[in-house]
This record gives sequence, C-alpha cells and structure tokens, in this order.
Amino acid sequence: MKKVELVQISKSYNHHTNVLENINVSIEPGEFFVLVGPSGCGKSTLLRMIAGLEDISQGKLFIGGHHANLLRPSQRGISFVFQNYALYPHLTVAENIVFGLQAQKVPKNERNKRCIEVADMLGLIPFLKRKPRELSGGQRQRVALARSIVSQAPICLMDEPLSNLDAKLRSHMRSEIKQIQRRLGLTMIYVTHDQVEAMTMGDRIMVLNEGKIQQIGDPLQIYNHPANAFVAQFIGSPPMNLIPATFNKQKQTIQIEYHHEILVPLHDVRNISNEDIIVGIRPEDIHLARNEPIHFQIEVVNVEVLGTETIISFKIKDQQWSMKWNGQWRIAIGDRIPISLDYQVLSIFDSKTGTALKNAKADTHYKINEVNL
Amino acid sequence: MKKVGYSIIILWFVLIMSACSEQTSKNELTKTNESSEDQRVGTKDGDKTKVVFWHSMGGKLQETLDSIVNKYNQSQNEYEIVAEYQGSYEEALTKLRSVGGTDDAPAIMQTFEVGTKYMIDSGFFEPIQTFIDKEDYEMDLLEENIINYYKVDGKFHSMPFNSSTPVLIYNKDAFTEVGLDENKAPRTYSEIKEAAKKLTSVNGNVTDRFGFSMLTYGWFFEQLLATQGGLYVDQNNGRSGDAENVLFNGEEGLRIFNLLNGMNQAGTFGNFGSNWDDIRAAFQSGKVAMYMDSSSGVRNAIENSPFEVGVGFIPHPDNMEPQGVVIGGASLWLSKGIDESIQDGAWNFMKYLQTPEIQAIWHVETGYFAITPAAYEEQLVKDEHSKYPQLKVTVDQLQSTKSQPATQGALISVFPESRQQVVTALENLYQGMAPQEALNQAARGTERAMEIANRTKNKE
Amino acid sequence: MKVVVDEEHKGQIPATINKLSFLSRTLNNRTALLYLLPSIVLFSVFVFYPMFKTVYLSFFLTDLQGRPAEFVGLENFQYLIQSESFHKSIKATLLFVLYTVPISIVTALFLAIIANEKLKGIGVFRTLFSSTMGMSVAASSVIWLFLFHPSIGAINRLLSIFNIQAIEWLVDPSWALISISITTIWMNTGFTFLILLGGLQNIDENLYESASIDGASFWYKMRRITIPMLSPTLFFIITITLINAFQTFGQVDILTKGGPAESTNLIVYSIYREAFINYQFGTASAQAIVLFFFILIVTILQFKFGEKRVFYQ
Repeated sequence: MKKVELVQISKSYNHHTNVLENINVSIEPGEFFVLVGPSGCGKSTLLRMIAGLEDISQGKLFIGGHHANLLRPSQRGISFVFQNYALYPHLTVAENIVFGLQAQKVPKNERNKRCIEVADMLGLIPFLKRKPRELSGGQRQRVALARSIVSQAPICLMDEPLSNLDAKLRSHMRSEIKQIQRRLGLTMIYVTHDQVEAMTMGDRIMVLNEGKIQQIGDPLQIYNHPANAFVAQFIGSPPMNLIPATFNKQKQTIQIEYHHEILVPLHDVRNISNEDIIVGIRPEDIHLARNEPIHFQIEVVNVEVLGTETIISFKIKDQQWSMKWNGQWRIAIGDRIPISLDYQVLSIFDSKTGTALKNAKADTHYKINEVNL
Repeated sequence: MKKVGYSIIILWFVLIMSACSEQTSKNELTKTNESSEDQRVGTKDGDKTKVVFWHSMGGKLQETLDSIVNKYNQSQNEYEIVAEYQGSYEEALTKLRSVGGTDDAPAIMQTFEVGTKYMIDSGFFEPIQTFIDKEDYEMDLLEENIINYYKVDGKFHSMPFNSSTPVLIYNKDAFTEVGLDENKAPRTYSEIKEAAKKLTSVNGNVTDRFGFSMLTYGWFFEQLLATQGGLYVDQNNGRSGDAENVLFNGEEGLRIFNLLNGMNQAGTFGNFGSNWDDIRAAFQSGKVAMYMDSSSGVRNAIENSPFEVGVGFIPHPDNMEPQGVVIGGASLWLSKGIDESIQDGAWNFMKYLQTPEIQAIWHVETGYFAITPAAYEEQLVKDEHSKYPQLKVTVDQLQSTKSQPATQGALISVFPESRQQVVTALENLYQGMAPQEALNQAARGTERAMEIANRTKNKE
Repeated sequence: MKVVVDEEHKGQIPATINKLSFLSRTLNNRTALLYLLPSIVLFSVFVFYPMFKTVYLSFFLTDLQGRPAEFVGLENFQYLIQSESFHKSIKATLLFVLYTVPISIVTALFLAIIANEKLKGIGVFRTLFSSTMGMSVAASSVIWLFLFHPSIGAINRLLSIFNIQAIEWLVDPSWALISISITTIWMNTGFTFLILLGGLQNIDENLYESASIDGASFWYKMRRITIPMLSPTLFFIITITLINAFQTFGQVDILTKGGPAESTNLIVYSIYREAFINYQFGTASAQAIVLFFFILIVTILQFKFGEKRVFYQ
C-alpha cells in the first residue's frame, strides 16, 4: 500500500502548449481512484506519467513518499493494465502471466505457485495452455488482470481496461475488479471515459477536461455538487439538461425562452450576479405537472421504456432534453405533456466560466440514503 | 508507419531521379539508332542508300570512327553509312546471333579476329572475295601478316580493319635505377626473369614494385605460343579443317606456364587480374615495371606515365628463333542476301577504309596498325613516329613476323570459350596449381566445346 | 458443346433449356476464367513457356547459333556431375549464400532496431539506411569496383594508413567471393532494413511498455518479444534473401566476371556464361534446372523447419 502524490504536474510535448496543467492530487493507499474525462483530455497521459512511460515535463511525482520522477517504470512498484491488454500473442496464458516474473528471474517454483494462485482467483485455470487469440474478450481481460496481480505491485494502474468488452461483461468485470482491489488492498488508479464506471467503482473521482482538473471528489459529491457545467453534464446518464437563460434581478426570476419564468428565492438572489446564466436540471428532476401553476408544455420526440423507468426526450429551444420517470409510461411520440421545473432542483452556472452558482438541493436523496442506513 | 512512408517517398524520388539520368544516357545511345529507322540493314531513302554498320569501338575509338564515317558520307552522294555502337565484341556478337540472317541484321558487322571461324560457319555473310574477284581489287597492298590471318582457304571472308599486336612495355626509369640498360628491352625468358628479379622491390612483406606482369587474358597466351611456332589446335591451327584436338597444352604452352609460375613463385610477378585498366593503372603508378599490352595501348602508356616508357618485342624462350606475332583486332563482314545496292555501298565503304590517308588517320589517332603499309609513308604517320619512336617498334615486330600456321592464328569457332578456359588456367596457376595440370584442364574444356561445335555443326 | 448438339435431336425445347442451363451453370467459372486470363497469358508467355523450353533444351546440344541440334538425353546432366567447374560453382554459390544471408539479415535487423527509436531526425537515418534499395545493382557494383581497386581503391588506401598490406579484393581468389559478398550485403541492406522496420513498427508498443514495467532488459525484450513477433517478417525476408542469393548475377558480372580461378562463378553467372558466351544452351539449361531444384529444396526445407518457429497473429 503506497501513497501516490502529484504536485504541480504538467506535460507538454512542444514547450508551448500544455496537454496537462497543474495537476495536484494525493492518492491515498488502498484507494480506488478514477481518472475520468472525455477522450483527449489527457487522462491516459497522466496515467502513463505515473507509470513512467512518459516523461514529466514539470512538477513532482511522489510514490510512497519517494520522489519518483526519474525512476524507471520497473522501479515504481506498479503494475499496468493496458486498454488492449498488451498480451503477448505468441505466448500461452500461463507464459503471459509469468512473463514479468521470468524477466525478474523469480525462481520457477515460486513462479508456478503464484501463477496458479492468480489463475485460480480469476478462473483462468482451464485456459492456461491457450494462446490469447483462442480466448474471448473477457478471458483476455482476466489474463491482463492476472498479469497485473501476479506482480504483487502495491499500485495498480489501469487504462480503460473494460472499453473493449460488451456491456454485460463490463458490468460484471466492474464489480470483479473492485472486489479484487479491495481484497488485495491495492492502490488503484483507474482511467476511464465512462462515467458509469467512474461512479460505480471509484472511491474518489478526478474529472479532467482539456488537461485541467475540473473536480475531485467522491462520486455523490461530484454528482450532486458538480463544480461546473462540464462536470454536471459529463457525470450522470442521461446527462444533465442544460439551457442558456437570463436572470432578471428586478423581477427575481429566471427566464427560459420568453414565456417561462421561474421565481428565485430571496436568499439566492445575492449569489447570482450575472444576467446570462446556464440552467441545468437532471432528467430525474423533471416531473409531470399536475396542478402546478408554472409549467411547460412540451412535445415528445422520443420515448425509451427501460422497464423500471422511462426516458422521454423533448425539445426546448432547439436543444434536446430528456427526463427520466420511474415506472413504465405509455407515451406516444408527438404527445404534448405539461411539465414543471421546481426551482429547488435547478442548478445554475455562470454562462462564461461554467462555474456552479447554485447546486440542486438533493435532500430527497439523502433521505433515502438514511432510510437505507 | 508514417515515417517509413516518408522514407519511401524520398527513396522514390531518388529512384526516379537516377532513372531519369539513366534515361538520358540511354537516349544518347539510341539516338543514332533512331535515325536509321529500326536499325535496318539499310534503306533506299531518296538519293542516298543507307548502310547500317555495327561496331564495337567505344570511347575515343568511337569518336575517331564516327569522324571517318562522316568524312566518307560527305565525300560522295550515293551511300550513307549509319554507324552504330553495339557494345563489346562479345555483346555485339550476341546481338547479331539473334538478328543474323533477318532484315534487322546490319549490312556491315565488325567482329574480333577470334570470331572469324564462327562468322564463316554462321552463313550470314557474303565472303568479300566475291567483290574482290568482281573488280580485281588489289588486296596485296595490305600488310602481309594481316592477309595471312584473314585469308582462309585462299579466300577473303572479311575485310581486315583494326589490327593490333602485343608488345612488352617497360619503365625505363626503373631500368636505370636498378642498373639495367634502358635501351635494351629483355627478349628471352631468362632475360625477362633476370630483369624482373632486379626490378622487384620489396619493403618488409609488402612488394612495392613487381618486375613483370601480364593481363590474365587468353590473347597474350596465344601470342607467346605463336612466337614459339606452337600451334593452338590441330589441323594446322584449324586452317586445313575443323580442329578436333587442342595442342596448346604441349611443350610450348608448358614453357609459358613454367615461366609465369616461376616468376610468380619468386614473387617477381604481379597479378593484377583480368581488367585492362587495372594493369595499366598499376604500370603507370609504378607498381609494376614491365608488362604486356596491346600495341594500341602504347601511346596511352607513354602519355600517361610520369616516367620514360620503353617498348620491346614479346618475350620468347632462350635459344629459339622468335616467329613473331599473330595479328589481333577485328575485321568487317558483309551481310548476305541483302539489297545489292546496299552491298555495293558496304563494299565501297570498306575500300574507302583501306586507303592510306584513312589508315594514317586511324593509326595515328587510335594506335591500331595501319593495315596498308603505304600509310606509313604518309606525312602524318611519319610525324607521329618521330614524336613517339616507340610506336615504330610495334610495326617492326609485326613486319618481322614469319608467316606460318602458328603466326597465322588459330581458327576455331569456340574461341571465346577457349579463352575463358585459358584465363581460368592462368588463375589456377597463380593459385599454385601445377602448370601442366592447369593447362590440361583448359585443354579438356576447349576440346569439349570444339567437340560439341563439330557435332552440332551440320545438323540444322 | 457436343453434348448440346446431340441434345438438339431430341427436340427444340429441351435443347434450349439444356443450352441455357449449361451456359448458366458455367457462368461463374467462365467469369472467373475471364478475370484470370491476363495473368494466365502473361504467366504462360513469361514463365511457363520459358520453363518448358528450358527443360526441353537441357536434353539437347545446341549449335553455334544456339539452336537445338542434337538430342543427347541426359548427357548434359552427366557432364555437370563430372564437371569440376560446376562443382566449384555449386561450392561458391553455397558459400556465398552462407556469407550473405545471415549477415545481411542481422545487419539490417540491427539497423532497423536502432532506427525504430522515436527520436528527432530519425527519418534521415531511415532514409539513409534504406537508400541502397534505390540503387541499381549495376550502379552499386561500379561504386564497389572503385572501392576495391587494387592500387587506387579507397579501401586499400585506408588499410595502408594503418600499415596493413593491401588486399587484392577482386584478384585474389580467396578474397573475391568475400568481396562480392560484402557488396551484396551492402546492397541487400536497404530493402531488408525497410521490410524489417515495417515489421517492427507493426509490433504493439504496449508490449514493450508492459515488459518495461515488468523490469525486462533490452535483450530479454529482444528475445521474448521482438524476435517472435517479427518472425513472419523474418521468415519472409530470409526466404527472399535466400532465393536472391542463389540468383545473384549483376555484381558478379561487373566485379569479377566469375573469376579469379572461377572462385566467384556463382551458378547463375555460370549459366549466363554457358548460354551467352559459349552458346551451350543445353548445358546452361541443365544448370538452370539444377539451380531450380536447389532453390526448391532449400525453400521446402525452410518451410518445413523454419516455419514452425514462425508465429502468425
């Protein structure tokens, strides 16, 4: 169990533009830390810098309290799972698993013992003699995992390890990886572009965009209190609905389009200084208007009935929104439905910087949690 | 892969560029061909009859030949000679083999002396005796030795053209340096051996200068054989019938191999391979003091050597009267079965080449012999000989040659192959093979080739 | 078609049906044949015909014009078996293959590995290393002819600086084959390098990164990753280089003409000499057939024993 600290780390390939800027984070021993962000945000680069596969242009990296910038990858006490698994196609599963041990001249008996142990843990025993191309995607994934575990490195780095699997297998492997991490007490740094993986697996999440940290926090913190519009939209499925709006200080209302106005409570008026704002609302927070006085009349453009919930899409001001209702709803495309937007569940962001000015109240969620507890 | 792609593109550029430069040089080569419309035998085009002439005179020789051809073309209005360079004698022969007897064959073909028998046997050519008889052309004006070589069964098949003989070329300065008489070229084997021994200078285990060298080329062997009166093959050197047995591995041939072997073992013989340029460079840079060259290389040696150059007769065994040399070089052949006017043109041009004025130019500019002795009386030649007295030696050697089958030269159709066998024998000799064994190997190879040639000769 | 004609006697309609069905049945084959036609024609003219002609000629003696004149059965082959010169040819060829193939490939592999690094300006080196590919055999041979020149060649001058006795590269029979081999290796390098570099670049970079994390040394990576992953490329290039070595001609023709003492008289050169200097097409064809079987056997052996070690992805 080792701590990984990144201090003021930047990466630049051409001395002019930074692909990563000012990364500061401390990853605790035994923590499952997820780096999430859209493709090209620099998350893989950051992971490769921690592994020693890329140089660190600026800043310092500490692993287990030691300055690690110049250490070779093999000296950092890490294992690495690649997106494409990087299995040696000409070697059998067993040979793949012990490849690193062999390179380090671990005695044969020990090698075999550890190989069997790990293979057993991951259910690979029947496949030890096979070549990677004779395995299914999930099995290959497991071999990559086994190779990482067998090294007994205290820190495990994973670069989108599940992105090549189908959805069902992915969700299965999610929990399997999480369980192994917990059981072995590994410090895990896990890169993904999939917010579901980030939410379900991470103890903490770092959201990256365009080489900059957007937010670091535990999954619910990030979901409920997104630091900015980017995080708000990136985390959550379907994503948070966003729409530009104007805040009218005199009337103390938020105006969406021309005829929709939402009253802002007095204590919030002070917080909102801009006229141009972005209003965000999570799909699950949009309700069918029953007797509310203020409501929108929307026209349904798409309906997805998922069994326990129904996702209804509609258009507002040229933007497609979606809302998620519990239960199964029979709604036809083209139906007109009245909906209500409660001020409490609105998130408000600065339209220029994207910074959150107000987060949605999430009391109801906390209540449910408490009930469960 | 991107980088590799980039490299490939650059490579292509280089390739295309080099291809372009090749293209231009090829174009230059083919330019003369195109002017003749498909390299025909010749065509009657308006007033002038075109006569195609294939030759193997490259480099400076080609310039001289072209200027002579031009001169001829301007001297009359009936015929136009189209001279086309076809590579070495061997290469030209190879081309001829594929077009011989067809419309694409040239009207005049230049072929080296050892191709004589092959050319006769091929049947593609009209013996020029036909034309000689028709107008009682005087061939006796030509050099006797040359007549002896090219007259086969009392008949001229081709017109002699460029002729050369071997000579001994030596470094006069080196002779003086080691106390030898610079004006007396060694003539006998023991003189050669002795001089070579004196001339060789060794520094540690590096030989700075070898005493003697000879190009690894069958022609020199043939000459050293002929000067002893030794025959190359039976049937009077193939002149009284198709030769069947090789004679060059007899005592005369063995004397030559023993001489070379002795000097090689003594370290006084330098082996510079089978490339003319290499041995000439070795002589001119002082790495060898005596060597055998063609008479056509004499002037070049004198002009390019930073020391005085002497020329002597080729060596002969002790206590033996030297018989002289065999004429080397090439002759011109006239195609059979082509338009009579073209044949007339070809014949007319051949006669033009024999005139003393033309022979004088040819001799002075190329170093080949004037095949018409009258040319030596031309002022041009006299001036040249007073400037380069060494040239006179080559003429003397030729004119002192005694006419007999040995110096007439052998007639066999497989001469190129036989020469190759002799070259291999010489190389084996220098590598330590016993002289008789090396000679016998070459003889066996030659005999097999002759046997096959005789077996297949009349089975068409 | 005859069948169709016969069918017509049975009546108009069935015949038409049969005719149609015959045509339509063979439609696919006929289309396939049409597509194959150009290559069949080209192959027949430039490969099959010369091949059969070679076999045919090997049973004949040819006259001075190179026409088959006398049928002699296996005499040409018997002659080859006894011919010392041909034995020398075979020995020289085998030695030549032995000298050139391994060294060419190891050299090119070395260059490819160092050129596979991602460094600034590496493109220049890649271009340089592969540049010999763009040179014709003739041009490169002439360059080496100058380098090997006994008295004014660059190599001997260099040797003389270090006070080493000049070597008669092309004149000394014990050196000539080595000189030809050096030239050939130099000429092979460009193409071999390019192919191997391509092969190296196809190896997933992650494999090396993974091995680095595991602490594998350079040689360990070389042995366990590079060579096995490169094996299809290596196999291909070894086969090509082998066959090329057996068929070497240009550099021999320009540098040594098969000499001295037949020490560089490789089989193909010997064939050329026999056919185009001596006009013995029969013996030449017999040699060509022997060479064909040589290459065939070597290739079969290579596929049989070499291919086992090849890993195809």
